[in-house]
Amino acid sequence: MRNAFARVLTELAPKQTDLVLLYADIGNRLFNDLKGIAPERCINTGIAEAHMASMAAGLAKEGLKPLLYTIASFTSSRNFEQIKVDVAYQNLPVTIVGTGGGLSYANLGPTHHTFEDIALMRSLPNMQVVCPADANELTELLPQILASGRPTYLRIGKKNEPALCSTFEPNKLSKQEGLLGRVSHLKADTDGDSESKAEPISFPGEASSKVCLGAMRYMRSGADLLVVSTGVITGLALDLAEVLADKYGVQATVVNIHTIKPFDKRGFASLVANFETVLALEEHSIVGGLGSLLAEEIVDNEWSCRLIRAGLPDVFIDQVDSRESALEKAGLTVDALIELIKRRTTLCA
Amino acid sequence: MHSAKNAYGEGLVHRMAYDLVRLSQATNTPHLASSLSSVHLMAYLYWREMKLQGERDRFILSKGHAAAVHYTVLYHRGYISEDELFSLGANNSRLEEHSGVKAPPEVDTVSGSLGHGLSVGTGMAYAAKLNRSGKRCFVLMGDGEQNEGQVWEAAQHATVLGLDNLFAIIDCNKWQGTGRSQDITNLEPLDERWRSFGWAVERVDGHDLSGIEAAFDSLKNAHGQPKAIVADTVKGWGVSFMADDNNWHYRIPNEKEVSQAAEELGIE
Repeated sequence: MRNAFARVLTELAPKQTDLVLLYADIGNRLFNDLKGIAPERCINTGIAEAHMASMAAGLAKEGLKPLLYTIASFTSSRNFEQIKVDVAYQNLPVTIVGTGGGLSYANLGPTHHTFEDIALMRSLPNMQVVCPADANELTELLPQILASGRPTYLRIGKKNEPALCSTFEPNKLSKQEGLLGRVSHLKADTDGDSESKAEPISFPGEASSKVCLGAMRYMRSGADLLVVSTGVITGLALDLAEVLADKYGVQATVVNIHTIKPFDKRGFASLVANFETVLALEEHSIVGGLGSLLAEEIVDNEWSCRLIRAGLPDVFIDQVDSRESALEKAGLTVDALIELIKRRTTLCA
Repeated sequence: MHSAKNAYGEGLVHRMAYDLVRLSQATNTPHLASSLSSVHLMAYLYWREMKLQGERDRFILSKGHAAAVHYTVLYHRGYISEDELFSLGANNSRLEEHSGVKAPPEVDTVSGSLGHGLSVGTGMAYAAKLNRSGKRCFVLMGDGEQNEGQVWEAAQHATVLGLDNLFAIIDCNKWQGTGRSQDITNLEPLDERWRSFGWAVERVDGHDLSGIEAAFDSLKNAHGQPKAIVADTVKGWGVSFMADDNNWHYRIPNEKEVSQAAEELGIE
């Protein structure tokens, strides 16, 4: 996905002359094409992430649109305060790109794991939080993020993430496998967004497999279980859905929340009434990420449904040779998730 | 009275120092001594050095707790009214104890968290080079602030970028929150430290207007290098019972102390 990022940025740079890339001594050769076009707009700040974030704020104050790039944990946890004060508080058009979110760098140990970034970043007012699931989503979302002119944390993968396909067909939704079109009313107005006050949601409404910033993306439809995921681990959500269907006759709707913040409250409200169980899946701590976000929504709106939060457990994962081994330790495999579903529900009985 | 108030010189500095003392008392705002130590430097920058119109220079008060001296300067330069100055710290005031996003447009960035300002300034100075705007950026820091590692991240980078339109002014009043700066982090010789980072450096008496001017003048010849002025100042300058007394980092004067200050500063 980092190659896709470099490619899209290089494509946009000639026309969007306000784009400036800052990187913290990482991305050897990754940005060679961009440097060829606009060397003065590629700034190596050295291994100085705090400085990089505040410097970006200074550039943005003078009308530029900076993007920061380094490993996700180093431009979320490490320089969080600079992002909070100089970027988020001043509401500046800075795009913070963290590569290798989750366990992409599993074998490098917890110093290179990013399991806390979504929790941190969504706690910042003004901050958009976006986790594309594959290179195609990144390609679609990056220009939209830049056009929004808002501070954004963009968590991307590293490399070789499989391209994901949506099998969702909107025109078949009303006839699909028993989806009843019941809606949940939004009760809570916890973020001061007056548009979301207790209004009926029309379902299926704008349900779509298109990649639009701020809208949830429908990957698969099914009546028995709602799986909500974010980022690269959406691939696992789709694998899980396939096995559930083939082996257990359980049909899952899979929805991909690439935009964690601002969260598609109406989209989620339109789904939640139709399912007894929601499974949240993320390559992030179960503390504070997508699962926590859904828990907040469900509790605030007093909806009754079962929420199963699958993510990285509250432990440091070390001594692993690969992301696959780490995900296995973390219980993020199809088999482990099915066991989880069996423990918490009567599906797959 | 208006023109006499604004005429550059020791008179102006004394007047602003007095305004700082009475402002602290009237609005119950601490950090008076930190504002007093910067009063000559601020006067020089805003009356002699910085371009204030058109593609104006940028000023960053990185030692953000001295917001009062920034606002006092803006008042004396006619950007805000006296009423507004004395609204410092009130509900819905544009003037907060640390400048925020609601501050007047002459305030170029938020401050209050130490160590950020030079990085922000590096960004502004670099943008000015990219945009060919000719703007310069002046960043006022404290000596306590030199503790923050981020200051040195910016210092090391600014030289690589050759930002000769970036000025770091360090108000060395010898104190920080809980004690003498030298005792806490052994920062001397500070001018040598900046020089070792590749900056063009002058060290001056921070209360000598002509000395400050001469220092900026000699730095004009440094091309391709960012510039640092290390200014030796007195925390709580101008008032005998505040000078070099770190209690005045937080302490707020009472009305009697304000009168005594007026007398010492030669204000009627």
